[in-house]
Amino acid sequence: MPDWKRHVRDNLSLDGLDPAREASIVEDLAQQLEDAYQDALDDGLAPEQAAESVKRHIPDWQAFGRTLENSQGAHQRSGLEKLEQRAMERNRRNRFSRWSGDLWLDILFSFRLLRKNQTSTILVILTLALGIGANTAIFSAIEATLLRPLPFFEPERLFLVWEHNRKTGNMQNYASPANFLDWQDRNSVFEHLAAFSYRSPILTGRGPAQRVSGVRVVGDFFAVLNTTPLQGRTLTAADAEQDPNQAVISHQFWRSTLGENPDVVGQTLILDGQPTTVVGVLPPKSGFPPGADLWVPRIYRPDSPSIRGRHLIGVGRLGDGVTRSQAQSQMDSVASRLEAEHPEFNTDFGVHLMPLRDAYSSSARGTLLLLLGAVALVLLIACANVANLLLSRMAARSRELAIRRALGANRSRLLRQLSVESWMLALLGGLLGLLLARPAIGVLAVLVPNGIRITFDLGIGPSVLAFTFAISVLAGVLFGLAPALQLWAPTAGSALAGGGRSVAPSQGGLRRFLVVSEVAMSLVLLAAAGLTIQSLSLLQRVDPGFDPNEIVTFSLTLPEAIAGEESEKAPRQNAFFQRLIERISALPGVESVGGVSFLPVAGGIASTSFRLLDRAAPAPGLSPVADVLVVAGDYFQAMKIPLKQGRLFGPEDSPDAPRAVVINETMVRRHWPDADPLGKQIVIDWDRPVTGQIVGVVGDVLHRGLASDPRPATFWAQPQFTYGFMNLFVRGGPEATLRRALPPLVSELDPDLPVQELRSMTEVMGESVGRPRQTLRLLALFAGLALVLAAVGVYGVASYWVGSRTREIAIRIAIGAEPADILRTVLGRGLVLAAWGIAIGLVAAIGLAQVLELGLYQVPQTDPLTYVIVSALLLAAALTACLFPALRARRVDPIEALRYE
Amino acid sequence: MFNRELKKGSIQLLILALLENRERHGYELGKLIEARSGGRLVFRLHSLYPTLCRMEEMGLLKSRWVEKPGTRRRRFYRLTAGGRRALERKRQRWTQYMQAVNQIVGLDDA
Repeated sequence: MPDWKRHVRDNLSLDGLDPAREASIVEDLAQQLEDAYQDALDDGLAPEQAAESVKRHIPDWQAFGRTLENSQGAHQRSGLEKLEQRAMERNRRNRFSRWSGDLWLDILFSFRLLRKNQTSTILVILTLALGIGANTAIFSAIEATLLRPLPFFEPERLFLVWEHNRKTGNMQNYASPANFLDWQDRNSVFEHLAAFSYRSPILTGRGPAQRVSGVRVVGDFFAVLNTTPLQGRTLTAADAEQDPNQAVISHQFWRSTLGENPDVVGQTLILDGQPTTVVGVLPPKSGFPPGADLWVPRIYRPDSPSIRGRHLIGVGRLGDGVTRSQAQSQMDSVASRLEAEHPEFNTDFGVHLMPLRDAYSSSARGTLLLLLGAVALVLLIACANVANLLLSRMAARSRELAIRRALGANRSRLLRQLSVESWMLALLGGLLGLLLARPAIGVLAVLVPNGIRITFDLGIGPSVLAFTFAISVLAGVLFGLAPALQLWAPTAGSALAGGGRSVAPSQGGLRRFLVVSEVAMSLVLLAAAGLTIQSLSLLQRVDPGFDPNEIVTFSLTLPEAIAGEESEKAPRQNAFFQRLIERISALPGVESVGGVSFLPVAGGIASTSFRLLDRAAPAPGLSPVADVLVVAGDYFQAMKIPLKQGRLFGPEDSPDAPRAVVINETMVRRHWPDADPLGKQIVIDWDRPVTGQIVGVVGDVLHRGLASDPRPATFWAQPQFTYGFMNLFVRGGPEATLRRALPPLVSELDPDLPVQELRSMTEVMGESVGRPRQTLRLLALFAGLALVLAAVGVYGVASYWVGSRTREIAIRIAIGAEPADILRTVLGRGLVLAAWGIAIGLVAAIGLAQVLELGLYQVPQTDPLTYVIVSALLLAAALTACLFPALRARRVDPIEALRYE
Repeated sequence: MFNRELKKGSIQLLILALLENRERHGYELGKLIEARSGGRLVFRLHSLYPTLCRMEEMGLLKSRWVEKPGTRRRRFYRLTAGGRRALERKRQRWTQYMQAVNQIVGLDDA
């Protein structure tokens, strides 16, 4: 007798059943097969035949196994429910396949249509590409500047900690080390609080001497940032105490200057003549502040000499769960206690917490958002234009659509066809826009703050791609709406009746609406551009207080190591600058040479509080403030800064003579409006009180930038006021010759001293307005684009009107209308539209001017002249756009036009 | 003899009916269907057994192993309360269906 159990076990495979259930099934089956075998034998079959007949009970074991497995889960659903579900699935599959098949047909059909109307298709795609490309480019700048997270661990917890100088309103005043140490001790809101100051030593012994931009870090600086080094280690607070001559370097510096030497850790760099050991290399683009190449430790003790000088920037990581306002309020109370404890030093100084992100991008935020608004308007105008164009096409297609409806296509079917067409146009436009955006991003780079450019790669990443796709789809919906609405127009079905000649009258209203919006939006853009143009041209005409022409400038920083002890510092620096100025003056063609500690117009400046010896001492915190500038050689002569009173510095202002001070006119106006300042004594708070006697008054120079107001300034003679940093100005001599001659001349005097920022003063002036100028160029470009698009829109409507009224015009001519009347009618219609657009645009622009800040210089945002000019410009453009259709209308030949009636 | 779909539609009703009054084992059910239909309805193990399993999963039947003296261990199936209700329902529906079909094809008594 066959072993039926074994037979079952050999043939049946059941997955996913529990073993007990499986064993039970096997036994049950074997039992039944055995019964069947017994029956077969009883029926008189031979054993082999009986076995064969039994095996026919289960012909396909695999199928049987599957059925069994399925039956095990069947209790969850009844058989009927399962059938229903299967039917639904099949239905859905069918519907999807039918839908996707139809979609494919729609796409093919759209392609054919687009190819058939090649000119208008190309026009549409180009229009969209310009709009989408501009949006993509601006968005890529915004994405990097405002949206991408900084490359630090939990960057939202990082804050810069400044002192807030309430007297000057400066919220980003450097902090004094004394206050910083107290902040560290008294706060509980920061997980780590460190600080840094800028210091860029000179590297020697590795090729030509070069300045390395670096910072000195105080406290656990790298713990704040949570930086993991690429090689070696970072610095800790303990390093400053043990050995200050250690450095962490940037990836960039390691690569460009040290040739990516793999054994760099432990090597020695000569920085300002001091051997310094490299202890670590940071990963690429991970350093803070951005652009720094070198980090060295620095420690302050309560008795450190520069403990009161404000030159630190705090940087801290908030504790987990601490909010910005909690941190700010605790630091506020720390600051007010410090104010009470050291009124002579801290009166009117608070603390300001600034998100690290703002340090990177706050300067560019306004400009970028403004430009985003501008390009969004351009895209909207482009969409309106495309909608208009598609409407004309719809008119031509009304017959086709009517036939399709008559043949049974329902509205949603036609709507889908139209949507597919719109989206295809939009996506093609988007694709081309992406290609256009690539080079545009390079142009935009000047608008992106330096720190961001150093930290991130600008370009088209996934989020920019997603943005482009999204706005393309959105644009498709927007301009696809107009033709789609036509499906609901009451006349849509009657197009067959008119033999295809009649057009939907409701189109006229929609078209007029589109054109009026286009003109209105263009006006807003033109107004913004117009205001910015005025602002910039005023800015460029600002008198900086000196003559920037024919001046070559460069800067020098004397290494601290050269200076050595404080007492030796002055004579050596004096000797160096004296010799340098003598040598440069001897160059052919040079008229005058001088230097000043801070480059005019560039923004950097040192200022401090002072008192006047002839006045009563003011209460703490009420002392006036003035800029402090150190002057070498014939600075005023070289820059042609006019002398207003008294004398300039001369050889008599030697280190041994009483200190002489030259002040500017603003200082005179502010403090001696009716008196003679000459001979008055002034004391400034420097690292110690410094007293000088006023010997002269010069004209104002705009140090903080062309858009700034002049501030009280004091000038001190370099031999009497040592200062290691100097910008030199050389007037006269051919620029090219000077540029070549200056660096070797400096290195003859000191081979380890690099010449920095060698350029002409006119370049400096240009750079100072670089960002406004680039903003203006872009705004003007977008406004111009808007103007052209709006004109095209007006042209489209006018020529459509002429085309659809040919009969009417012909009849009017036939019954005696003058060509001039016809011309007037067409132009009149166009002008009415433009006038509506301008009126609405003016209201919108003036409304926006109340809300948006354009950052204009001396131009009110509601400057009437600008609005008048841009309105006239738009009107003229509209008139020109109407002229061609109007002339065409005038030439309508009544006989020709009416012949086919 | 009969169409597969037709058989499939009635198999649950047949099983429920056969188990109405007593419990039976699987092989017996197949044999009974064949015998009572005069050999016109034959359900092999191939289709019958999974149906039994499914009906048990659905709670219409309950099975147990029974060892009677002199015979081997067999699995016996009987109706649950749910099975009885289902039998009632299916019987009614079957009758209605048959009547409807008969009315159309002209075999109705009336």
